[in-house]
Amino acid sequence: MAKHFGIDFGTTNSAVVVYDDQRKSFTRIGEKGPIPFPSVIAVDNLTQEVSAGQKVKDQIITLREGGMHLVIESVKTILDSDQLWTTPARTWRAGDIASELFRALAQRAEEDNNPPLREAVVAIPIGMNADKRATLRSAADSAGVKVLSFISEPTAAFIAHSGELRHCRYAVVFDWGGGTLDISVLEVKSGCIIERYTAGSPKAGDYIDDLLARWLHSQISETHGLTIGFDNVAPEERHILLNESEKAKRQLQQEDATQAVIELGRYAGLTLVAQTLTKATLNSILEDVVSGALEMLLQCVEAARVSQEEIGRLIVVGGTSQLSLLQRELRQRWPHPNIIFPREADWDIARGAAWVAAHPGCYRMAESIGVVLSDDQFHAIFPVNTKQESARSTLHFGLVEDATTATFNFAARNGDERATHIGELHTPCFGFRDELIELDCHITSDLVFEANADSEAKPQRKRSFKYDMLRWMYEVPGSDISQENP
Amino acid sequence: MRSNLKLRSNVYLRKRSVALQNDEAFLGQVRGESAVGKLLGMYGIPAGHRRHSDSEVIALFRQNKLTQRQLNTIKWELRCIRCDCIPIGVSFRDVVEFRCSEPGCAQSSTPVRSVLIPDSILAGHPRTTGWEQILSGAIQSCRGVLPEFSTEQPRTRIVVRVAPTADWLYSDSELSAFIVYGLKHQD
Ligand SMILES: Nc1ncnc2c1ncn2[C@@H]1O[C@H](COP(=O)(O)OP(=O)(O)O)[C@@H](O)[C@H]1O
Ligand SMILES: [Zn+2]
Ligand SMILES: [Zn+2]
Repeated sequence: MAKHFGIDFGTTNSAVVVYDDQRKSFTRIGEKGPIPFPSVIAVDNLTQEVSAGQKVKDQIITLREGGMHLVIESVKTILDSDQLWTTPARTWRAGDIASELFRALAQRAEEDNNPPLREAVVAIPIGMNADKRATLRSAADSAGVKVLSFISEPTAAFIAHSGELRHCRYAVVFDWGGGTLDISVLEVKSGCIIERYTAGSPKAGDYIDDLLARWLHSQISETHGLTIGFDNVAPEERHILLNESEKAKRQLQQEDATQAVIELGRYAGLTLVAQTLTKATLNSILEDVVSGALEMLLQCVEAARVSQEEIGRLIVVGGTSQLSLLQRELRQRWPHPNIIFPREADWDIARGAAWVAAHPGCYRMAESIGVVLSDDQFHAIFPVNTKQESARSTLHFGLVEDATTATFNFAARNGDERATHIGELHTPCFGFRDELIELDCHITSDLVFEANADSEAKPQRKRSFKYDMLRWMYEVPGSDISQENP
Repeated sequence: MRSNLKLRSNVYLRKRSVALQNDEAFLGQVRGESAVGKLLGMYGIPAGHRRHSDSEVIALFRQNKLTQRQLNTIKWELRCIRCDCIPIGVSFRDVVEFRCSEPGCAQSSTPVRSVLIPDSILAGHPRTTGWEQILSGAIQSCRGVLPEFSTEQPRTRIVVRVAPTADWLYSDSELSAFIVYGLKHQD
């Protein structure tokens, strides 16, 4: 195949990039503009027609208020929830909504005369749990998109910039999006990218919009003598204020912008309300959030035990990273000339994922996983460096006590450090006797460690243990990841 | 490692191609009175000959088919008089410990001590339970003053629950002295 797809399935925005093997070029697929595709869905209650992206975002308030549509945003954060939505004809689970987004992305790709989007590498945030990964995979699948592999978002951003990262041992990815701030210190070692240290915070774009909306609410209350608290304002009106706050925030990032006027048709019983927000006020509201984010960055680097000088590049991505206050403060507190503010930051993650789709590498374990035996010794099942595909093993155990339950304690171990307990598995047994308990272990393509214990007692009921927080390194094919990467 | 575990692992690697009798590394891990008893059965030792001092058991120990810990297990693991669990046993550190965890067993909050009593005294007052009443009665009638005290050999170890204050106040030999006094002055 000459064309390879990478998908950044974002909380707020999603992006698809195609890599052309022959031309060695990347093409962006999003909204016309081109801007990334807002991760929002609307279902018409009457016709069941699904629409997605910018056209929904543009009319989100009308659609919500009209009551004729089911409108869902930020589905990525609730992929593992049991929440159900209903339209007259059917019920929707989070996976169904995600599936509609994949379908919409595939359709956009086709409109641009690309080959059909049938398979892709999908970027996922660090720490996304096993259930979310599984839901995401099956959501893509039912939209006709096979997930070739998942790649972590910072690793994808890193790969997108590997051209500039030649000969760097360390890099930091600072990804400040709508829902979260994710900071990762990456290390390149013998052809592998290792997430050496990661940290996250929920204080991101949505949090900022909430701060702004609350500030605006207090100003409006003061001017018009409102006594109602922000949380008691009708949800739709609060939503409108949040939306307007978001717009004003972005507007004020433009270089020549000094103030924005927020106009509301009606708000908390008032009609035609207008409120001015100056850039100076905005920045004073954002001061704490921005300095908190920078603090976290510096702490992260310290915790990874590398110095700012050793870090080859600091890659700053995500919509919220466009805050001018951040960029200014960053230049002060990170005085090294190694910051990259990518011009097309919105697309970097998808671009890295597309490159990976064209040059599939493999995952190797960055820590070992094993079982703690009855003598408290750690017995590695899969040692460090084990490839995901080849991680299969069947072990046999015996019960050392006359008990009716066998207890397996699992642990992970990083280098020479002490093993940390990660969970346990209990299997019914017949007591002490000549019985072999079979433990079947493997690592799924969703990078989840699974162990199934099978004993003679109640053999029909397999007991299993799953662990989705293992640390991985991504081995890039060939020796130089920057060779083909423009 | 052990600190954050709810339950210790009770499994050990088994060599699949090796018969249980020959899987030495595994057999060395077998623990607990009941499992060690079954192990002795597997070696063909009849039920009445599984005490630590029985010659068949000692022979197995000499052949390295029983570990010191397993020998200690059959020597020390005693049943709880209240609930029939085995609250006294050899701990992971090879120390005799009290660990009755059966819910509702009154013993779980009472300290337990093991003390040596001269066989000559025991022979005159055969009994296996009720040591705690004898001890507390003796401490009371002596008003806590240490009675006369014998170190006569041979002696046998008994296990007794003691009140927390007595546990704190008296050494093993002092507790032994009170029990001897109590046995001598029964009724
Ligand atoms: N120019 C801008 N200035 C400040 N914030 C912005 C700007 N553009 C987008 N954002 C904010 O970035 C967030 C979306 O970032 P993005 O990286 O697309 O999110 P996600 O990774 O969560 O999908 C939103 O909160 C949005 O308001
Ligand atoms: Zn993102
Ligand atoms: Zn008991």
